[in-house]
Amino acid sequence: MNHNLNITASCRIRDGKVYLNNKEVFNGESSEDFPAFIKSAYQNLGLKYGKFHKMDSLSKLGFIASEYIFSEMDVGSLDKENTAIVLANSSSSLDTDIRHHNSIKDASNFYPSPAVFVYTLPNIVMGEICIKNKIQGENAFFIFDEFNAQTLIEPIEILFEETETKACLGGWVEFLEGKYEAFLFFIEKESNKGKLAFNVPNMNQLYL
Amino acid sequence: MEAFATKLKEQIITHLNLEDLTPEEVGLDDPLFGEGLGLDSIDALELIVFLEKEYGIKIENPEEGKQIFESVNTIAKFIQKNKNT
Repeated sequence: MNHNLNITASCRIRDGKVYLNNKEVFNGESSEDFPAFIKSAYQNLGLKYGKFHKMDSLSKLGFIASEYIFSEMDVGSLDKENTAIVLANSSSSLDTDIRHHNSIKDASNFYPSPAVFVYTLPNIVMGEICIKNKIQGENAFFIFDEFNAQTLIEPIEILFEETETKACLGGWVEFLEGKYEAFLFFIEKESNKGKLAFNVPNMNQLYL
Repeated sequence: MEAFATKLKEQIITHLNLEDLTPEEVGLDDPLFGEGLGLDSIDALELIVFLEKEYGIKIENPEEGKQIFESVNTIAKFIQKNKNT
C-alpha cells in the first residue's frame, strides 16, 4: 500500500465546538440545539450560500466541517477532477428518513416534502460539498457501526493506488435525533504541508 | 391584492428556507427562478405542495407552472383566481 499520503488538514465538530487542525476555532456551546449551533457555525465562517439553509442536518454538518477545512486552503488550486470524497457514518440518513416517514404516515395529512425527500440518502452530503466546491473526483459513502480509522484508511488508500486521485476529503459524519459528530480530514499525496502520515495512530489521535 | 402578495412572499421565504433573504429584498415582480431568486426544480415541487397544503389548490397541468411561478405576484393572482373555484 501507499505510504506517501499525508493528513494536511482536519476538522472535528462535537459538543458545540469546532476544532480545525486540533485547535478550537468556534465555540457554540451556548446554542440551544443543533440547528442553532450549526447556523452560528455557518455565520462564523462568513458564508453567503443560500442552499445551506435548505440542507438536512447531516448535510449541514458535513458541509460546515468541509468548509472549515477549505477555509484555510487555496481551493482554487485543487485538481477538482481528481479530488475524491470518502465519508462514513453509522445512521445513514435515518434522521431525515424519519422526518419523511412522519410526513407520509397519515393518509389524511399526506404532504411529503420534496425538499426533505431529496435528503433521504446519506451520500447527498457529498453532493452538497462537491457542488459548492466543484469537486468531480471519485466518491463513496460507507455505513459502519462506529468510527474506525482502519476501515476509512483502506478504501482511501485503494483510491490513491488505483485511480488518478490526487487528494481526498474523508471522514465520519454522523447525525441522528439531535446527536451529532463530524470528523473530516484532507489527504494529499506527497504533500509538504503538515507532514502528518495518514495512518491509524495519527487518525485516532486527531479523532479523540 | 398587494397585502396578500406581501403575506405570500413571507410564506414562500419561510416555506422554502430562504433564510439569507428578507422580505424587503424580494420584489413582488422579481423572477423566482433563474437569475432572479435562483430557485431550483426542488423549490418548484415545494411550491406545488405549498399551494395544495396552504390554499387547497392543485396544479393539474404542470405546463402551467412556468407562468404561475414566474413571480410572487403571478402566484398571488393564481391563488386569488382559483382558491374558491
